[in-house]
Amino acid sequence: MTSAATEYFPPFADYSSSSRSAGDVGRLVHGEFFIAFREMRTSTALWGEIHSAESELQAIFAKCSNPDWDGDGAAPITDMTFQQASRFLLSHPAGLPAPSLSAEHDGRISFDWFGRVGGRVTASVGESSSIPYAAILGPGRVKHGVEQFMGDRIPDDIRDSIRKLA
Amino acid sequence: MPDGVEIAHAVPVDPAEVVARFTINDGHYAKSKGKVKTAMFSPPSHLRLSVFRVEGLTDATTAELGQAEFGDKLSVPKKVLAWATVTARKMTVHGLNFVPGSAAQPPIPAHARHADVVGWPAIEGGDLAKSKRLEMAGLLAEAATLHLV
Repeated sequence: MTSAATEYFPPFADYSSSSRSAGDVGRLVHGEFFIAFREMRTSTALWGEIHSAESELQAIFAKCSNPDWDGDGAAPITDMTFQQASRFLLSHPAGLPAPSLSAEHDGRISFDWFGRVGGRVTASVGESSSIPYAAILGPGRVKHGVEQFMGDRIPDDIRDSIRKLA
Repeated sequence: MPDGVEIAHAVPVDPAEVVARFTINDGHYAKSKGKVKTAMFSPPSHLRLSVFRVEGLTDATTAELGQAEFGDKLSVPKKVLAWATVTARKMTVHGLNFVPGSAAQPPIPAHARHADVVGWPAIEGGDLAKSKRLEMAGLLAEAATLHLV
């Protein structure tokens, strides 16, 4: 596995570290598992959509990692924000619509989930575990708050809000 | 923005007026879904969201205005790719206000069709204030109409 891939899929980075100590066989098994996992992911419609979001994330990082990327004084998307956003995306559960991503002026990355007939949930991912979010679920059904993302599961309030999108 | 660059006695923004938010970032809208993303209306760190007053302008004239007064005046000029329109009322109903006649990109001279949208929850409010700004920006994006150049 390449170092770039290790960085892009942080959950595997930990496994990689431990498998190195187990020697060449461990590395080989790990590499094959990684490839198989990626193939499995891209073979279904859902993972196809998530793969599209991954591509969107990589494009954002490529375009927005320097200061003033928007010509209006925007903060850069840092490596740490990119990695946190990667973890957030990898935590996306099956059965939810795929998010659409944007770079924000303050150097964070926002995730938008759209309802079929209106409404949206937006979560903003930065370097820390705090995730400010807002949910617009219909007339009078609007809320905002801050949840904690611990690296492996989209916070319940955000997940529940996405499920409520029509 | 430094003091004194606003146009004196600029005409106040009428609630029924249409205002436009231009973007040079293709990540600010979902073309295939025809949706404006929340980030398009998320205010920058200085909390002055730049919009233009485009009531009565054609799409072609609006595009020209955006390129000349926004895209070309960025620190590195860029092509305007799209804009989103909403009525001013959609902003004021959330407690936002307009500073008409302000400069789009200081020290560029002020423009009669430009306005800053102010009144956002303060940065000092931390992540909770950020989430409220997301809510306000999301409501604006929901109400907005996307126009592609």
